[in-house]
Amino acid sequence: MTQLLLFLDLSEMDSSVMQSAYRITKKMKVSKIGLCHYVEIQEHAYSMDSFYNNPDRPIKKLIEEELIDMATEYNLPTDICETIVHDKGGKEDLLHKLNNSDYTLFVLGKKTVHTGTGAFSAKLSRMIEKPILFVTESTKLDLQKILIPTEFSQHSKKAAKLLDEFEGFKPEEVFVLHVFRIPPSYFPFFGKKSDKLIKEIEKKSSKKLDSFCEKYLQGYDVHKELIYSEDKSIAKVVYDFSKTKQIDMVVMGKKGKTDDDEDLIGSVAAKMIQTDKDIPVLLVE
Amino acid sequence: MGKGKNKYFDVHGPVFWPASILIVIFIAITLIVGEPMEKVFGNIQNGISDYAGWLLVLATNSFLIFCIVIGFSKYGKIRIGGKEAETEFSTGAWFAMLFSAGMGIGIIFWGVAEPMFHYVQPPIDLDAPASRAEQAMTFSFLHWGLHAWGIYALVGLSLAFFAFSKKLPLTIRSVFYPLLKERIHGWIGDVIDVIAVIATLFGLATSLGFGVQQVSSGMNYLFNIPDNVITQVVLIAIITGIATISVVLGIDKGVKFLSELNIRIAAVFLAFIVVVGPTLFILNSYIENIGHYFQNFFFLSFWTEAYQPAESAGWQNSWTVFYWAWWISWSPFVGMFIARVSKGRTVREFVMGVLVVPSLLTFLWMSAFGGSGLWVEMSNPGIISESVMENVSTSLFVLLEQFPLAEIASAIGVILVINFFVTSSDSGSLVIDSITAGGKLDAPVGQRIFWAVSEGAVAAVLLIGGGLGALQTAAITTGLPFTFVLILMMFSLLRGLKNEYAKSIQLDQETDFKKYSERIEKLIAKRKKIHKEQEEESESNKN
Repeated sequence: MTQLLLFLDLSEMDSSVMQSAYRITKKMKVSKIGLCHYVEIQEHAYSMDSFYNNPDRPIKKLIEEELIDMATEYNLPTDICETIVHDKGGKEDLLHKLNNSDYTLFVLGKKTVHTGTGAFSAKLSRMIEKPILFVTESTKLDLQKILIPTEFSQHSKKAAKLLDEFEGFKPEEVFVLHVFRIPPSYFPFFGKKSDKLIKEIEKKSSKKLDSFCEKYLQGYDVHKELIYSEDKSIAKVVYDFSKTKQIDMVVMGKKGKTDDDEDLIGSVAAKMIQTDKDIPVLLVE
Repeated sequence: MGKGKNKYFDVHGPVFWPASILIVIFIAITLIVGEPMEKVFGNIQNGISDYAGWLLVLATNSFLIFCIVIGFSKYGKIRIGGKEAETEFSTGAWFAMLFSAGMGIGIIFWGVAEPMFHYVQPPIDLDAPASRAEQAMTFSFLHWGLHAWGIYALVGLSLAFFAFSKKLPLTIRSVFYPLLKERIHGWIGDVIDVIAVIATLFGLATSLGFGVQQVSSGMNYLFNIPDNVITQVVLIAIITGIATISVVLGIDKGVKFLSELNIRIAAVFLAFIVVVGPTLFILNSYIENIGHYFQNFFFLSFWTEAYQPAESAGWQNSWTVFYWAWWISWSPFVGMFIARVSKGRTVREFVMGVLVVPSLLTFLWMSAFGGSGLWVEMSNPGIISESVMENVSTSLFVLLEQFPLAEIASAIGVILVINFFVTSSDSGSLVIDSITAGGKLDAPVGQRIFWAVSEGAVAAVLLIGGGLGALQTAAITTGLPFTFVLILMMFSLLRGLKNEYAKSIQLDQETDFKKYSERIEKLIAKRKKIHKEQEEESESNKN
């Protein structure tokens, strides 16, 4: 059973998060929903109540009420909802608690229109060690067409395997996309990018793609795609592809093969969750 | 026993049982086989020194350079245990524990003897006594200085970082998390921990066994107490008894108290020798020795006897390479102990604290005791060197005899030696205890007693049955495999630190406070309105 955790920052973005959560509860079996709010005042060492001069009712309580009201408004089953209003201990403490919690899927909003919102959670998201879904304002999380971009690394294997882990979840179509390029080191030896070389790499990639789908995506309606990218960035190719195929959600590994430890998130993944990409992305640790 | 939580025992079965059983088997074999065992391990050790000596020299230098680079890099600011972590112990207590666990006992025995050995049998041929003395001190500094602490710092820092910052259990396996991920909780992790437990227990037990032989011969020299197995076993019982009480009391009351007491006695002892000994010579030579050490630092650190004629080569194997293997085989124990007491320090503080302060203290000790020995020896050749060559353990007492108040000083010396043994033994028991309890910091009392007593028992059994040498050599031979473990540790720690640094940069970024504040104010207003409406509604319902 899936246990959802929603990051809510009390901004306009929350409505997209709530709507997505509602759709998820319709598509998967969900046993618990956490409504999490991080109180940013704590970083300025203020006590929230004294800061807002609100002695009659603790603000923590007000926020909890607001979160539950929101859940009711968006038809979430409130009997399985719990509120997590984190007002002490800072970000590190919240991260540690969440990473060690039993929540299996985190949802947070990423702004593409509303400025000044969602930025904090996007930062936090890089340190979450669980699958994390980024939704945008225009997200209609239908979860029918899923795209898995892969470069056959451990991370993309995990992304593929994740589909099985959500009980009751069965997308109609799964697109598996591999974007390939000619590694720069080939040029001095092979001259300019010859068609023969491209063909050769394509053939190899195609084989890998076949075995990837066979191994990790049995039982799904799979569409395999190979795209050669001459100089467009991989993220751009993936994004354009997902737009033309009207993909509902991109599922991908948080890191790729070549990413360094200092990147908490891989370069392609980072570009996919940038504010200019208006598509739901599920990142897998 | 052994399963689940229990008031007296709370063990991690896959480590506790294999380790305990292997220890028993090992001891049984050693007792039954006897001398050939020592030969076998002796040959292995010689093989390691002959063929892998260069590797140990290279690795030890790499560890030290790695620690210094990490300490002064941007990662130096990372605080062990998270940004908000606070230190558990005062800086003074921290140094006291570092020093007591890491070197304490060895330096008391070798403080006088080692420079004397190098003076009498110089590693690099020199004629003038003054140059020989200078060289002797420099080599002693090399063996007891920055390199030894570099090894400990690497292991300690890795363990502290993964235990406190990454919240993994405090055991050796946790260090490999970036490389092995969740597999550290599987059999690979168990194997790593079992090896660490065995190496630590044998290292401790054999030092305890050898140590009491030395204490006993010292007491015989001083008080004419018969130097035999009975005296030695009684000494083991006393030391183990005090250590047991110390571990039962825990790190705060027991270990910390004894370590601090140790350092105080040692300080008094040191002050004593400086005052009654050749004061000016000690102070002058301390400064000069440090300079000489740094001047020859790279030459000596990387010296491998490569150009030494074959017939005179081999010195390095029995000294430098031996020490490197010895420190490395002790590193799981000392490293874990250092990690345990270092929460809340920054990486830079840690590196500076572990490398520099203990090294300088060691140098001062060496200059005072070893230097005084050389000073006496240079004016009266043979007076100290002859007895040192005959019996290392009496060297300290022979030296004290040359100065006033020899009886009192020797008695303090004996107390200090015993106390240093206790602190090695109790901190060792805590470490083994923690590993066999799956990394818990405060394992139940019963278990602590079990390991403290086991250590004493192993030492006593080996003392009576013979085989101390065999097992000690066996413990040192773990130095080579552990060298590879430590090399992996460098990569693992670097990965962990890189990741932590990236996180801290992210976390430091300011959130948009003004916008957030507006949202909260809006929320308060909204909720107030709702509450008011609810109240009005319930009022009207009442009416």
